[in-house]
Amino acid sequence: MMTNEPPLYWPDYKSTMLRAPQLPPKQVDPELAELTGPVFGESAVGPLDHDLTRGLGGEPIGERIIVHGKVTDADGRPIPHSLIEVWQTNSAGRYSHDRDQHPAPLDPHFNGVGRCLTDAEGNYRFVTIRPGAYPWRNHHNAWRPAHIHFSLFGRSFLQRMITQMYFPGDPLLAHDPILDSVPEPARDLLVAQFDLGQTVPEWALAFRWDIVLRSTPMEDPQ
Amino acid sequence: MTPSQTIGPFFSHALVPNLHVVPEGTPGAFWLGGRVLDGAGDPVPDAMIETWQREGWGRSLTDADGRWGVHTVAPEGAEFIAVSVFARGLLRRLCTRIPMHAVEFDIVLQGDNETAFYEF
Repeated sequence: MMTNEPPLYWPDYKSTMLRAPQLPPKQVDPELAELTGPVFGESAVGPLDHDLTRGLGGEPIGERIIVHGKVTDADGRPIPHSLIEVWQTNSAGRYSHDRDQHPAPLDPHFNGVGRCLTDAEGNYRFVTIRPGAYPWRNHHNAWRPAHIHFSLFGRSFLQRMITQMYFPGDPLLAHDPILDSVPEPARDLLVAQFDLGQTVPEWALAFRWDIVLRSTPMEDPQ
Repeated sequence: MTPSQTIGPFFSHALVPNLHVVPEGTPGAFWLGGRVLDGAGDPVPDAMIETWQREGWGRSLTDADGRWGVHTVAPEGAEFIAVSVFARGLLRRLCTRIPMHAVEFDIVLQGDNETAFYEF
């Protein structure tokens, strides 16, 4: 069932050591509350929330990109009208967060926060700035590859997931204990693909990243 | 299926809390909450707790003492409130169930008083 999932205890990522439960989880059948989930209306998302390059009074610095894809369940059914939240660093590798102490510049025109709803076919699309790599203190000379955090609600509690999207060809992918925690064959599922077809001439490169959430039993097929 | 990854430490500016599952003044409403603690008994100040029940959903980010809380009612027609736990150091979500009459519910990630976590 969870073969693609990272383990909870992963000593190469030091923060897991005091936070990973030691007891095996109880295997249970989901009950009604877990087979349903919050439904977000159009009002949950503002018209510019999918465009991280707008709304802060000027153009952010960096390489403008489009990130798009389709959200489906494990049976290939689209997951429509579901909330996606994203957050990321700016192009210099710094989060717009009080506690990020990386000595890289903040960008007054970029806070790296976005939201959208998937459309009726499960598609999503963000406009943003390519995030930067940044150092962290997990081990000597540790650097996170550039990534975008994704929070997905799906259509039920069972499908709720938070993950990270990475960029193709990044040399840091081979040196990241967080990505490395994912079993080898599944790591590529977290790496977007460059998408020339959706790249907009004279404006922005596009990357495609499709997301597959677990299926919810008993849900009516779309 | 797409694998999970940690929420990381820097999400509180991005993931907006939703402390009120039900509005103030709702009959029977109360504050449900507790602390999130690690295997050393220390508070986890960078966790996000989400609750789900038919009456609505809640989201609370832990404070410096590891405290979380949402304003809710006892779930009708269910024995528990479904809970997701995200934190720096959790490579994937943990799921637990808060019994319907609980008011204070600590989430102990590891150790002697470890919370019962569920997989489906």
